[in-house]
Amino acid sequence: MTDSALASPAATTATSSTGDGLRPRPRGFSAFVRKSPLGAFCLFVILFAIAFALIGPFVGTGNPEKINPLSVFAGPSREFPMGTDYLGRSVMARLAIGMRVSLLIALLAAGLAAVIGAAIGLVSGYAGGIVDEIIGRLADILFAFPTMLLGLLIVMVLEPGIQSLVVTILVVTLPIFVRVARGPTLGLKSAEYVIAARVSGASTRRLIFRHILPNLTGPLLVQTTFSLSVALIAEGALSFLGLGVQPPQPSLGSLLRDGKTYMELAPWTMLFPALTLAGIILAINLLGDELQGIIDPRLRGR
Amino acid sequence: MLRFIVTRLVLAVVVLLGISLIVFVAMRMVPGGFATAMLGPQGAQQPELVDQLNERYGLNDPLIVQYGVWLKNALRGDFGESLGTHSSISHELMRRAGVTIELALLSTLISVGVGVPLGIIAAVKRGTPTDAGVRGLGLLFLSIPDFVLGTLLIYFVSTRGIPLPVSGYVSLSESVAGNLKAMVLPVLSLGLITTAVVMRVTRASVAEVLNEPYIVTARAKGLSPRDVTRRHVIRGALIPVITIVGINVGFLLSGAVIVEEIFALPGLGRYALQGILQRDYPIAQATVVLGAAMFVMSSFIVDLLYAWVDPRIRYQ
Repeated sequence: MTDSALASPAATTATSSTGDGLRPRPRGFSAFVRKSPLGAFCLFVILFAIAFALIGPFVGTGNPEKINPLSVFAGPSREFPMGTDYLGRSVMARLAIGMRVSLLIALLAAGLAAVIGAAIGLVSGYAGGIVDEIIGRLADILFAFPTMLLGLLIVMVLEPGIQSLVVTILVVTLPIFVRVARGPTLGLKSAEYVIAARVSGASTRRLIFRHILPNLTGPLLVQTTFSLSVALIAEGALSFLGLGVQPPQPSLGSLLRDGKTYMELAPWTMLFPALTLAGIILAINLLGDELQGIIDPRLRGR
Repeated sequence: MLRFIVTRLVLAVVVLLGISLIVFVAMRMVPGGFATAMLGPQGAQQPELVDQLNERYGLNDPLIVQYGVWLKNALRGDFGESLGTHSSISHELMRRAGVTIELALLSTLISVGVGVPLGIIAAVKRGTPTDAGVRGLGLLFLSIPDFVLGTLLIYFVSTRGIPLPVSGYVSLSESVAGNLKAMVLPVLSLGLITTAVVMRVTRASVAEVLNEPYIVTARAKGLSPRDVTRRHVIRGALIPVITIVGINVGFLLSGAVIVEEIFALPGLGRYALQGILQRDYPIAQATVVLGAAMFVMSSFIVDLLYAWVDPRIRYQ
């Protein structure tokens, strides 16, 4: 472990599974596909979902805003592949718009949490001492808030809406990133290659960005993936309760909320958002699992 | 051991104080503020009324004094009264706690009772179709959020004509059978996810312990595979499982807000939601702090269990 770490810090996570380091391992996307077909499939599903969210309303799903009084609660048909809702609007088109809103919120919030959380964790682990202690306790406090209660609290202060959703998800996922970044930093800062770099005069900035951060990308990537599903669930739950995205704007959660009201009359208004949400989360979780298996083969199949 | 308990206890208290302070300050930051909630938008325009109100509730005092007063009362079990109904919040909390605790207990019971055995089986039979099946099922249930599962269950039960109530609560004293029937769907909505989580963690933990040298020793000295699993593997694999069961308490409290709302159960979660929706500060404040306190308490118990299972931890 120390040997490979000395040789090339950035490549430790990549080469640890082959070990010998003689054969140049295939890198990049084709290697990922070969190593984990399931993961590649999940990535494809996620990209497909994003593509559908972006271009769905323009290709044959109908106008999401158009009210069709004559075809209220129409079942799935050629004109409306997923039926219509209580105003006769195309469920498929609204699903696309709703996915756009949900995915945007999730990507934005999880991305922000990853960047900010990793930065805090790095500083905390690298600085050590009192700084580390204070940051650790603050993270504990955030950890101790059950997600939903924290969400409710933030919604009460900021008013329901996209803004409070992003803040809620950010605050809920932030402490995990702090821990993910802090742990390895503690070990790495006294790793031989980092000490060697420091002795040869590397600045703190260079030590952190060149020598420590590249070793964290794996765990951080895995955590970002899982946080995406946490974010989608949090958005869905708060919007489902009417505390998230406000009408007339749809999201996966608020579509499900509307669908639940009318599910006996028009099950499709509930089933399509429900299955879409579960499907995307399943794809994200599977992808996270596969990535984790690649990065740390010991944990394969956890 | 005593020192360990005291350190943990002090930490738990510090975290709780932090939480209650954050919640308290957050409540004072709510737009419109206390006056609007009490007097309505028109009343809040009249300075005399607002002054009277501030005087009566001590809102002119420095924030830290107000926090002190609230904390002192809260520690004596007095959370004030609801702004809307003027009923005692503590009284309401007592009435509702039972529902949420029952929900959480039953869900935990299922998740441990089903998740742990399945996890052990999957780990022992690593790489077989049994393992793959258990893992696939686990990942599937992990990916259906509670509000989606709850909605799907209601739909399923009502379209198939299954005689289970989809809404409302029957207390244990009224009818034990009726109570359990009313809890089936809510517990399934919450419990399947936690079962999946417990199963995955158990599987991973057992799989790791199976590779330990002391397991090889146990096998080599001639213990039957059953005895090895029972006497050595399970004890060694226990810590991560205890952790996840403790962490699940937080998840269950969050889930309670949603599941109690979906199935119209009169528990703490629904009370919290009601407090937030109606901008009833004292309710929101009491329920959020109480929820966090329950989670901190469960973490504390988890810490004690750790030290009990693994003596090394006590001396760190």
